[in-house]
Amino acid sequence: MVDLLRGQARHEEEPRDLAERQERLVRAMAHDDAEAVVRLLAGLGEADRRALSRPVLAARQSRLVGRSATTAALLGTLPGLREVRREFAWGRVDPAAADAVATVLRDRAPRWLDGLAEALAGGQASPTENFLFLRRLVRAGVLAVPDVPEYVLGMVGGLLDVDRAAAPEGALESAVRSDPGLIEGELWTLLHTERSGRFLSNHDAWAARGVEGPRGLYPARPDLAWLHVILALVADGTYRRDAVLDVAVEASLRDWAAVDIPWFVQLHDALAPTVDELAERQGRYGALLAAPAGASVHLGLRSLSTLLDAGRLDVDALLSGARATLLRQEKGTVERALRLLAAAATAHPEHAGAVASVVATATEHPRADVRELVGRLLTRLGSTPPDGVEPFAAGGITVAVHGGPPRREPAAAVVPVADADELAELLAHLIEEADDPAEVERALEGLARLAGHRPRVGADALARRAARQSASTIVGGWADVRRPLAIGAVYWLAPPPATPMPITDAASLQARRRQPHVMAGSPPEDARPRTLPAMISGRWWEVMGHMIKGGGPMLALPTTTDGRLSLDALLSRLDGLGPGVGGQPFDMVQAFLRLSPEDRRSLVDRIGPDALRGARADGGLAALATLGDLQPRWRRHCADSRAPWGGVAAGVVTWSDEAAYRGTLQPLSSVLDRSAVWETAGYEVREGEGSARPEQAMALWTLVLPHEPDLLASHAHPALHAALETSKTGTGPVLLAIGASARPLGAPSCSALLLGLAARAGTARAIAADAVVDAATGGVLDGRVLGNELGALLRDGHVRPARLVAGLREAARGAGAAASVVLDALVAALPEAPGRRETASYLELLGDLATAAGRQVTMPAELAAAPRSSAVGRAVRRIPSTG
Amino acid sequence: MSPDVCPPGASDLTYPRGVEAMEQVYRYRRASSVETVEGRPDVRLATSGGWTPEGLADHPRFFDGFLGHAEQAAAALLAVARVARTRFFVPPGMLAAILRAADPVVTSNGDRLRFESFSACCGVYVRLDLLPGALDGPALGTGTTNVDMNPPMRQALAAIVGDQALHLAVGEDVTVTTADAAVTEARVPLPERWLKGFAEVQGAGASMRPVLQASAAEARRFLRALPRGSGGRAPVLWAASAGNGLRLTARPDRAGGTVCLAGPERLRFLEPLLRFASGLRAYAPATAEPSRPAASIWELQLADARVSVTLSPEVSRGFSGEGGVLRDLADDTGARDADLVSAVLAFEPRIDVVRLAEETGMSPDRVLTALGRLGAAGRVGFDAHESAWFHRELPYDGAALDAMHPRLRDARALAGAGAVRPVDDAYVVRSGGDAEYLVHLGPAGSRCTCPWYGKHRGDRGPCKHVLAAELVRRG
Repeated sequence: MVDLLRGQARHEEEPRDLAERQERLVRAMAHDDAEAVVRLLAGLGEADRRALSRPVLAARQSRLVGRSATTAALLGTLPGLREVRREFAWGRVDPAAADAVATVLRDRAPRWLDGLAEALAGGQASPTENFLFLRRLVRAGVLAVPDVPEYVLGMVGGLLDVDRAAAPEGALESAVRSDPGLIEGELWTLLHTERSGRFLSNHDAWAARGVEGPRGLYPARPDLAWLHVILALVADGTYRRDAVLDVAVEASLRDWAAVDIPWFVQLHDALAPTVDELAERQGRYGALLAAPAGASVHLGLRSLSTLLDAGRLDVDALLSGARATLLRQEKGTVERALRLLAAAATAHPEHAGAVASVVATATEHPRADVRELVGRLLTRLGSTPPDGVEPFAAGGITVAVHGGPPRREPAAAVVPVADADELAELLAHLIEEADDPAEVERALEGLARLAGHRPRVGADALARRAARQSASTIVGGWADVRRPLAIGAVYWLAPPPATPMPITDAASLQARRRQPHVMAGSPPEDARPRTLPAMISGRWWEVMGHMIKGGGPMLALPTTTDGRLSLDALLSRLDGLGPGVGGQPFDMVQAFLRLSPEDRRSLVDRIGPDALRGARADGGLAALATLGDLQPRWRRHCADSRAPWGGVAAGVVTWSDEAAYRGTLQPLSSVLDRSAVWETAGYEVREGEGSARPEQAMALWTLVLPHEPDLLASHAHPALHAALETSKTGTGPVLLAIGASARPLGAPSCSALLLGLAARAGTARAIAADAVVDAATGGVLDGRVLGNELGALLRDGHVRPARLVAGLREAARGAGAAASVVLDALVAALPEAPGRRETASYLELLGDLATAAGRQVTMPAELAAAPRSSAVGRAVRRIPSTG
Repeated sequence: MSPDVCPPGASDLTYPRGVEAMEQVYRYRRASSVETVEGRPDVRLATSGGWTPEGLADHPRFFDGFLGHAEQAAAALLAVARVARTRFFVPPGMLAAILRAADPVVTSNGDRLRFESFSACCGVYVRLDLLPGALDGPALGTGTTNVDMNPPMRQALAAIVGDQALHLAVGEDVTVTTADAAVTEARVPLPERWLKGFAEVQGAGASMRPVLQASAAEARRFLRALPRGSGGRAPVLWAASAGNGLRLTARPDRAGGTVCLAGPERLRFLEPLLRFASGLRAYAPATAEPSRPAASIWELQLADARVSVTLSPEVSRGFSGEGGVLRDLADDTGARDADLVSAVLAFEPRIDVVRLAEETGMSPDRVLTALGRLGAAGRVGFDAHESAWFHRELPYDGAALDAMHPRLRDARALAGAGAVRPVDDAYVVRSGGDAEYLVHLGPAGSRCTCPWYGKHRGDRGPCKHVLAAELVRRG
């Protein structure tokens, strides 16, 4: 091709100089004239190519270029692999460009050619994108078959260069057969390449079931499955059957991730090996029993079971790996292995002793059913558990029941920042990580009080950094505490805005939003009303406005890190405000909420509601007096709720307060108006999404309501609902605050703890278990109330009972008091237990706890009547019961 | 080892200034292999460059004998190899980058073999110690080298079952190698932070004390129940004792009875080894603030072997930036002490500090400081179970490792340029143009108003401004 093109070039005038060559090259790119590009680059030295790379890149960035010509121009001029990686990081290289590129690369012979495949197949784009292009370069003899796994992995989805839905019958098989070398080369390598299992599995899942695509439903196309292709190659003898069977078995044995195994197991099963074939490989099936992946173990068990049925089992092969299987956690797998061992001992009584020795391994299994089965088998085999095998009595809870309660750390004192230097240092930390809500409160109070002061050094540097941080796209949304802190630092340290504004002046708000650093903020109007974020945003904006007006002391700084404020401290601060100085509404409400209810009443008694009404900024603050006498009447709801973008959040549990404050005064309504919570719950479920630090935002919630755990729990329910399905909701601080409450927990708090135990993220469940332990050891958690909520959640069916039961087990292991509370809860919710998939594990936990506590349980008739041979029946029998 | 000499494997390192990765060239005489010989597994590990007491060697030979507990040994070697090719944390924006694993490092200390590897994310370090009881005799020699763990070999290791002895050769006799055997060569770019973390992780171990112990059954229950994925921003958890077992908690014990377990899913690679476990022990730093995330060591006890896993304090945080040794490195007398101590090391399995103090004429404290410094340069490792250092020289460029402390380099530049001035009770450090930062030096911990300190506070060693102020104060 080069010669031909050079021949053509002789008929054209050679460019006079590099500038003309550049101009013609760019023009050729614009017309997608790959042949011209090839001609113009032919025979150039590296220096000229480097010189041309810049205009080529510029032309490419203009996007007014054709694909083949551009690809050829780029690969003919880019100086090295780094540049190639950068330019081809995300895009697919058109296979049609391969001929031109092959000519260019053959002519150029760059030093980095060996790394081209890795650069194109292993970049940010899917390996699938560039397989065909690379394959054509291989076939053109420009590249050796690349020795990077991404190349062959890319073949799985990249070999067919047509719309799959429109591909002719058997197109994948045809593509394989029509490419010489592919069957012996890339395809065979693929079957030995790590991660191939997940690629093949994903591809074949689409082929089997179809998939929803941008242009509608792509129909199922079983003929386009790789499994189909491999079987066809075996069927006509292209691949040796025994070799493919070996591949399937050995892949299951490899040190690969579990996700890569099932496709090979499917291949194995599709080959339907005969008993002779199984027998030839039974050593490897025995080894599969010790493999990490469950799918491998199941393949081993099935194959050995078939051999046993056929009278061909080598018991040693079974015993070699079975001990490892019996140490697995999955109940079904272990029971299956035990049954196979029992059958092997029956068929081969001479091995009964060895089988018994292996069976005893499962004595420590966490499920009582398995332990019971082991006991029966050992008895049948004439054996007892050998010494040294540790029994797993009562699911590991026995000792924990008698363990002492963990220490509850008293909250530390909150000390106001001393001076501007300390405030600068504090802000320097908080705009990076606002990981301590009490520190955030110190900063807020410091900003207001020290508005007129400056740190000794570093003010400009901090202001610049804060301005950058406030505008950063990484720091975003009201749910990221770092942004308002950064804005606060800018307000404090940068020249003040030209027009100070009252916080309630909407026009001023709009004006301020035009300032870049304020654009990033979130005024309270942006937050959903009647939510804690609205309260928190309001306080922040209030402080900003206060700073602009010169600042001054604030009231609400808590005296301890758990958010509580002492009456003495508040009285002292009120005195410090001086006569006639109005307090800030959000600040005032927050200060009141941080007083204990008793102190709220005392304060109102001492200064009188009239004093509040007369002296403070908003007459409606008289309503604060009502905070001393909150008597919520909680009502539970479980319903679908309207969500953003026309979506629906299904089965959101919410708690309304039928005695709630229903005024319109924003600081109070944000916190107290729980009258129609279901209306916004669907939106609140989605609020934490997109926040980089949701846990830091929710940690602030705990300091808004340090004395009302149920009210806090009511606010947190949408986030807890979200945590059932997503890992990133930041509910941990709220759960821990509920658990640390000194006041008895009502139904909303119990419901919150249970939702936490059922969270998707294991870390969130561990935190919820901590909260249950804390509340139980603190004596504020009533097992019956917890049980009522447990029953309600089971009845609703929107949580996963398996997670709940596992979470309750973890909580019970944490402390004796927690075990007792969990036992009470399980007993109270027992009427809701029957008829569920997890009923047996629920009853196992109940049995473990009741046995450890020496307590009799009255069984509902439905459970008492469960067949004795069923898992539920066996679990019922193990519960000390009176019914 | 004199600082201007590199081991053979590292002699081909290209490490231009300003480039954040160096290329390690592994040259193996042949690929490692596993075969069955006379019914026994025969594991032959090829070696590439390394140190012996006699000096540098292209293909050192350390062991040729039998290992007990074949299945366990094979599974443990696979676990070490798995860590080397795992990225436990993928930073946002890094989606499908190809992972080129560095080969594990093996050290022969005469009576035991140690296999080490370090994860691609720089947050997980694992070491398999094959103890004297596992070897049928002493090693042929002592030293450190890389070993090849290629995919076919891993496949063969995974298929080993049974408890019979396994034949192991680490390196091979040159005379039995066929003349036409081709040298296999692999070039692996090793990021600076990976190399630095691999070396510095030893310093984290040196401050550890055992805190929790669990039986085999509890170890299995605890490790198998660990959350599967927590992500980079998940809350840090701790392990606490619960009855006769362990449980996860979000509340660290201020009295030090809990062990930080950040990213608990990072321990799940131990699952295939649990069936051999006889116990689990967890270590936490003796001096760290108990409520702050900290590094931890998880030691799985096996028959005549131990697997120790060191986890970084947070999933998104590697060991390279921990800065635990910066103050030691800033002390020039420490460099001389380290040279003196290194001269008398001889690949001991357990370095006797008292003996070293006698031999070098230094106090034991100075010897320990010198060992910490050597650890940061990749020249000694720390065995938390033995609570002792052991000698091994990482087969990478020691001089390059020594230079990988940009904070210290910058601090010296600031101090040298007169950018530090005392004010009242503090220091003002001018850095990065006209930015000024206030530094407070104090016995309870130094503080700075710079962004780095603002983000990490005291958790990752001193910032360059604090170091510079300390250098100026020291004079």
